[in-house]
Amino acid sequence: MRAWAACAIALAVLTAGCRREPTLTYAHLLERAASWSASVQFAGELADRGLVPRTYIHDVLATASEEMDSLRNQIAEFDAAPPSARSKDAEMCARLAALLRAGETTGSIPDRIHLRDLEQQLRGDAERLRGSLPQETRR
Amino acid sequence: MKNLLKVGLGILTSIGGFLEVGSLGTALQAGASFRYSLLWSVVVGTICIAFLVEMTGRLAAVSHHTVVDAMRKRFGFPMQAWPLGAQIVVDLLVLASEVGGASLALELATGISIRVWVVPVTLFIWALLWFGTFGTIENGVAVLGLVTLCFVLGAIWLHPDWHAVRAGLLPQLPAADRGEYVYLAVGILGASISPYLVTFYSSGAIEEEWKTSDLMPNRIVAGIGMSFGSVVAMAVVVVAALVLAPRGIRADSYQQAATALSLPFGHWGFRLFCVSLGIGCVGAALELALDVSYIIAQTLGWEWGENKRPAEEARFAIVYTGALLLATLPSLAGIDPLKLTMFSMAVTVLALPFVVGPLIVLMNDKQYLKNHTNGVIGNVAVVTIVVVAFALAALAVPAQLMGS
Repeated sequence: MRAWAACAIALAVLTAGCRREPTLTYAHLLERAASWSASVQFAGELADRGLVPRTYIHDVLATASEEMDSLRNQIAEFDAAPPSARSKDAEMCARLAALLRAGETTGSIPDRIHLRDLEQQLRGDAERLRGSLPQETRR
Repeated sequence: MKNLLKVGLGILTSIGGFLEVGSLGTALQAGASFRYSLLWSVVVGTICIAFLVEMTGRLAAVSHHTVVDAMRKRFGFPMQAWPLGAQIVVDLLVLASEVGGASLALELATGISIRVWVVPVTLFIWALLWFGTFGTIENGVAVLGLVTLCFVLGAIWLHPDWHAVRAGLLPQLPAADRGEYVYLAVGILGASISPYLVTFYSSGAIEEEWKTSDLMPNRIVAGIGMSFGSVVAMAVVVVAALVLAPRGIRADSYQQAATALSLPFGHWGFRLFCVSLGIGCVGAALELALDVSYIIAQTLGWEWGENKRPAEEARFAIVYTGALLLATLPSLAGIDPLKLTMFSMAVTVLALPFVVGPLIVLMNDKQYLKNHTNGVIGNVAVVTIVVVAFALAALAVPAQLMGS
């Protein structure tokens, strides 16, 4: 019984030590949003060259807009991040989601310049957050 | 000549059957997020599963017992219930991931929602089990699975930096995101060292009535077949590293990863991806559903065997029917197949010691293995890999779940 308790305590301590820094988790959310934008842009490039079917474009736009809504909610509710950053990033996700939904309705890839611009802003914010962390916690 | 044919077919099925939802999903995520630096985990996982598969084949050929059967006789039912219960839970989780993966392949190919495909896909798998024989299931689907070699061709076509690929064969912690790195390493190990392969392979050996003359083909198939199979998984990592990673695509879902083959293969690339995912998942789902039946039937002493007609072993057929029904639920509930896969792979690693531990004891028991018991290298390699994988999973899984 004592051995089990010792194991449980050791595991809890180790797990707490491994727990991800909230800033890093927030940066990950931004990177995931940027990644969806990148995926849609790449799908668009391939569609222009006739390398992927139209049905896939519709599928990826539908999935991306759903994911973007979910990410926007997670970002907006992420208490550990400053409110100003949260509202700015959630707003970017909302714009991305709106673009993707518009594309889903028309069945075509949204304006890629807009997509790239939003992707770069999200990546920039994520990089700034990572840069603000001490070296050890970035891991 | 007969042995040569057996070896050839065994190697082909090992290659064709290697890629399934777990190995494909984890390899895509590893390549997209960490380029080549997780290749080592594919190698480590393959070494372990090659040893395990060889051991279970040897046990079946020498003792004429399946792993489950031998465990029941050696340890008794109360001791056996825990590891096998854990394995059934893992099997059902992975089976649900495979059904989801095959259904998603059809969604990608047709644009029709995954939820529409879940029931037809499950019915198709069930019909293959109900009307097929062990040979058609093991060899037929796995030979079709050779389509996954397209990832190897794709990786070569993309001209990777081979020095960087070689460097990835040695473990190296990245400067950032170490938690995610360890979690993905655990996922790859879970996908490679699937416990179902252990019990399925030994049941297959009994179905095919292996004898001690099959020991050498068994060793060759386990070693060479699994090694070639792992090359396919490594090729998936390389393709994702060269196509998805430079574009900042993280492969959080199969929709994001489906374009991985479009650069090397043009308009065939997308189709090849869908076919590889679909066939890989159907093949593994067949084996997993059968495995649940094998475990339960062998534990409870029922009649069992895929080569028998369902009327001759009704309980065996009812179990895989029930397992398939349960496996449809997560996809029907809208759970993303890739997320379910990552979770299933992590749980698989946590369950490994409970399945592998008793097997290692069995494999050193002269009563079952006579003079074919394990050598030191096999024991040490398997125990070390399983203990390290379990320790990594015990750390990474809760941390990742809390982080996300």
